[in-house]
Amino acid sequence: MSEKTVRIPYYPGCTMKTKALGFERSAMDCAEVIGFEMDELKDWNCCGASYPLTKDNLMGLTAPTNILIEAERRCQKEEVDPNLLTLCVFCYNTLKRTEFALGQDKKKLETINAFLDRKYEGSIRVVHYLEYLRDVIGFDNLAKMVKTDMSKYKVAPYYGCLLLKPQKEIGLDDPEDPVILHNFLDALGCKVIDFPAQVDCCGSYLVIREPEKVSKLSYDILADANEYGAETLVTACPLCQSNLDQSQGDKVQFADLDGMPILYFTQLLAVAFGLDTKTHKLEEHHIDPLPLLKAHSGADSESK
Amino acid sequence: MLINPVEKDQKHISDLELATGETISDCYQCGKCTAGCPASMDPAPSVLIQFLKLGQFELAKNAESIWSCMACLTCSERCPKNVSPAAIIEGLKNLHLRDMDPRVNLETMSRDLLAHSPQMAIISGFRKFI
Amino acid sequence: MTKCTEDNKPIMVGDRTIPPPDARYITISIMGQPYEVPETLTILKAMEFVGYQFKRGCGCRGGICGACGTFYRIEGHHTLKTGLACQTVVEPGMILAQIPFFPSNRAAELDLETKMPADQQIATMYPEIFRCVGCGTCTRTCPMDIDVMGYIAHFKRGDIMGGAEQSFDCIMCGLCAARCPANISQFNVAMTARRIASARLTPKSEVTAARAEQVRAGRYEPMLAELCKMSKDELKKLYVEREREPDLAKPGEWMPEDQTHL
Repeated sequence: MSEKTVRIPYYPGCTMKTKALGFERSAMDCAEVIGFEMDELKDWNCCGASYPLTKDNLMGLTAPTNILIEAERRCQKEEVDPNLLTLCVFCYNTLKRTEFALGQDKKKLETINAFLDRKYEGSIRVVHYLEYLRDVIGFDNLAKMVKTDMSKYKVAPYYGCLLLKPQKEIGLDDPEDPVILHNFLDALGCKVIDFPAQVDCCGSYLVIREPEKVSKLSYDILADANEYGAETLVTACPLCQSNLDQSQGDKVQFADLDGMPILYFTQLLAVAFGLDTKTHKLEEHHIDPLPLLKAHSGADSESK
Repeated sequence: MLINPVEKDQKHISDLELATGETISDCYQCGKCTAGCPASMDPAPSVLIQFLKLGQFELAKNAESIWSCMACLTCSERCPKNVSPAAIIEGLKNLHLRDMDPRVNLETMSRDLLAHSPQMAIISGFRKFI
Repeated sequence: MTKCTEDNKPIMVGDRTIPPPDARYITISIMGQPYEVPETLTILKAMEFVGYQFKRGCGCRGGICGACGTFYRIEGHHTLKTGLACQTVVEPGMILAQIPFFPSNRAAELDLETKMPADQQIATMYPEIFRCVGCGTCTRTCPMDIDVMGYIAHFKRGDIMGGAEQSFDCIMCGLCAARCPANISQFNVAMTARRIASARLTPKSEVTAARAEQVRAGRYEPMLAELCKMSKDELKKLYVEREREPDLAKPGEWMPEDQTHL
């Protein structure tokens, strides 16, 4: 690993600073161990959390373009590679699809630049944290940094939707048969629970209008994972985490399922690295993951 | 449900194709989108597209099921003809939203939901429903 | 309106602005009517020059009260511009529309005693902030050069204090709310956030609280009574001869000679 810490421009997104703070903190602590720094953009706005699916909607691109402009300015000023690191999957999807659309359609880029009265030149490459681990660090190298014996953990990788789709624009992995989280968990030394519902949708934003549907979809996913022997799920999306975790409070829907803790993949990575997880907000999950961590821990660097 | 195949609402459907960037006549009704859709939509995605192919614009536009789409994009990924039912459904929703006909009321929405949902759920939800 | 001579020169009347004799005149449009005004006047003064009397939409005249928000276009250009009438100088071809009042949303009650986290308070009082599309129209509209979209972005991510600070220069003119496509009343959200920030998020000043207690307990009553009994000359003498801590005195080092009131 290089001696000097690499600083990568980082875009957190609105949820990361409040409801998913543990995700960010664990990601930053792990980044420190791995040898890079997540350097938050100074001035950023909400990405919109939703890529417009209709071609006529240019307004939905103004917010992500603003972010890409900020990132581009920063990278040009500091003369670093034009990469923008993201953690939240909704932000990743919105920003990545915007990068693709503006790269493809110069007319669209011109129109948005004119409207914003700013100039995006199209240089930024949006990167997800997992992608960085896989392509820059390498999962083999990641494995070498693991300090904890994770072999007793039976972890199901849950991908959700927006990390992978649409493949033509995101290009991270195969949406039907992905392996990136599987390989990540392998590198940590966990027992990887492959299960069919790993790419099924949790219900997403329907939670604000049809929560019972989200409850049902979450149950289907968790019951499937349970059937295949998982004791916990890892995810990269704060909305998936929230839906899968919070809906387990629906005692009627989940009557026959014991609570399954839903972890962010960086929270598990922090455990694997043997880090102090006190600030990673594990206690704020609805289904408490601490008993599971305690049960499997030999090392006492877990949070109390 | 009996559909009168004589009625054609072609102007609206052409406008929808222009707005969404989709070509509805490409769909050959294989049903993969419906098979993969997690939203238990009734009418299902392929049925909505069939309504449009038959010129039954109002049936598609006024279907309640379009509001259950969660933009998971499974339909778009699996379509062998590169049609995106998700885009078409969003186009139909936009016709309501741009006509000041929202599906979520800010004033009566649960304060608890607003306080405790992750912002990304509220922000993306508002884009789809208001 | 404007009384003019035979060759259309305006006649100066009363207490209106009296332009210098060689002042150049330009044509602007007010309420759809063209008028000739001296080119160095502000919109406010120009409108009064031609005879309008402001009953509303006019306040401090110093760019700080936010009463005189104005939308205008320059004839032949498509851009809609904004400014404060008391600060913006007229331009040839200006087409003016004053906005003395714009209906904006203000949440009914602000509970400053609540235990609810500040970010949740803002989210429940003004959920429309989550409709922001990040178009930046508000920022481009603001006559005080505030990054309005920026402070709304702070509120969306739960940083109430940061957004409150960023909105500090706001004069509540309402022009941002008038243009927002998501119908957010940004300036009201910011005002609420500033109130929450000072009541709940800013550290309390211990010394102020202690001093307030002393005042309430009547510490200064005898001194005030003493002053009230003095004649005008005695007060004058007391004021002129008062002791004053030197500017560069080190804290705690200087003491007045008369320490009876300390």
